[in-house]
Amino acid sequence: MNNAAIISQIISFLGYLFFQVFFARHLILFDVAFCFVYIGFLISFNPEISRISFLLIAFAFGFSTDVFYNTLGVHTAACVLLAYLRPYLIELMTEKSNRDTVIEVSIRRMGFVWYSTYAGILLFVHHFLLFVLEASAASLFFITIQKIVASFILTSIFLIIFQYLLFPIRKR
Amino acid sequence: MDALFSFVFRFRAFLLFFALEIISISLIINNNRQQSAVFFNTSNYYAAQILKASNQFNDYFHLGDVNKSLAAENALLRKQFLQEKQRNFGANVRPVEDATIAGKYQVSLAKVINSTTKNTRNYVTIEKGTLDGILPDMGVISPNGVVGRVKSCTPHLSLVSSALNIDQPISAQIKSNKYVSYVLWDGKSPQFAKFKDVTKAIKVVVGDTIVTSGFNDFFPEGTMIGKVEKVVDDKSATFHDITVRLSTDFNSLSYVYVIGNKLKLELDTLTQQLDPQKEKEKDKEKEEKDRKEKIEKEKKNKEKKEKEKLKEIEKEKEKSKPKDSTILKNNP
Repeated sequence: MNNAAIISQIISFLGYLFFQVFFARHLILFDVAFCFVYIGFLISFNPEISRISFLLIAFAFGFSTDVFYNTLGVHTAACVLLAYLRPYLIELMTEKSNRDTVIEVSIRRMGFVWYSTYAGILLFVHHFLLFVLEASAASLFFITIQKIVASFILTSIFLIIFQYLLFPIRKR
Repeated sequence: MDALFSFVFRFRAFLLFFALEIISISLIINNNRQQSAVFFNTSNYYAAQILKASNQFNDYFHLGDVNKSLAAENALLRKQFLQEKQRNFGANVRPVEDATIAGKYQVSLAKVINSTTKNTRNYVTIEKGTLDGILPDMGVISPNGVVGRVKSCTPHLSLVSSALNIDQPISAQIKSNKYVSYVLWDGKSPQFAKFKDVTKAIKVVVGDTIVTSGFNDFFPEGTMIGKVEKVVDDKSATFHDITVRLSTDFNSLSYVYVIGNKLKLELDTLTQQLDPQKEKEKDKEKEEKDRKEKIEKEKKNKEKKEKEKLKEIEKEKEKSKPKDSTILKNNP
């Protein structure tokens, strides 16, 4: 990564965090659907980064989100898991010959179907660990499942909207 | 050794992932404890500055509600004050009150800058801290009822773990018959909690008022918690299943009162004196301390002796040296 790419990643780190803390944090529908759109930062991160540094970035990102949610460790654990699985998922979902061409993870570059499968898997893993850790009580099983499914739907809608806003598809 | 290094290098991503997960899970466990001084939360100074900005914007939408609840509380207080005045009117003999007990509660007003209701452990961040005399374990109430209990403080801010916390029971009683049990949130709706462990021998009617009991030292006795909304009796269960509608609206908290009990320290020392187990623990601690001190003393004595021995050896050496020099001097 060159300097310009690093600066743009830092700006998107702060941008996603800002959006999450000021707006998405208050957006809770029907007491169960949370909007955790901040993980768009990790999902569409530059795929050329090394695994080690991506894990550390995810840790820092989850930690700073946790500070505002008063749930120290919960978002951190979920983000680190997401960051660990992401490179394997990208490898799995691209053919060997095309692997070098993955330089941007977005709908514009990879197509809607590819992106939604990829983001959906990561999103579900993240939300599952997040809500299980947050509840940490077996008596809350059904409400936790409700929260996972509802938040999954709401967050994926927001992620797709973000995709079209941040990576606009140019008409030829 | 080379094999070990190559192993670590090959699995470095997995090992780092594993280490980071362990760190975050230990953070969660530490954070979920009732008594834990955690500084990375919304009572952190910088986080609070950001939240304040966000809150100032939201405040405008709640102004009407805040006004209404404050006016209602004012009216209630005025009514109570007038009643008290009437009661004492013309009475020459008044009961002598112990000033320390009558004035044992210290009340301070605090502004809410952040409040969550949808998590399983919810917290309220208030804009007062240790510099204003707020300490962990103080009770927090709103004009309408119980809010929670102070968890940790920084100089200017405090984190309150609210009644909407699945790990935090509140000692409560039915106002009419003084039956004491506890209220615990079930993690579902922020408007309702459960009044637990009430035996079926006790009659509970929908609409009964639930207030705090005198058995905790966080809240003054008789602080409103809520009203019974629903009583379900399962034949196989030994207890009533009572749902309480909480009187505090946690979604629109703006100002809260922090209640400090000035006699809490005395109460704690009293209960500690009465508690035989704690005394035993204390005795054990003392014994351990004594042992450690003994061991240290022995160590020091040994060291001293060794030093003395060393000195003696050196002295002997020195004694032998001058002789040599004299011999040397004499020789030429």
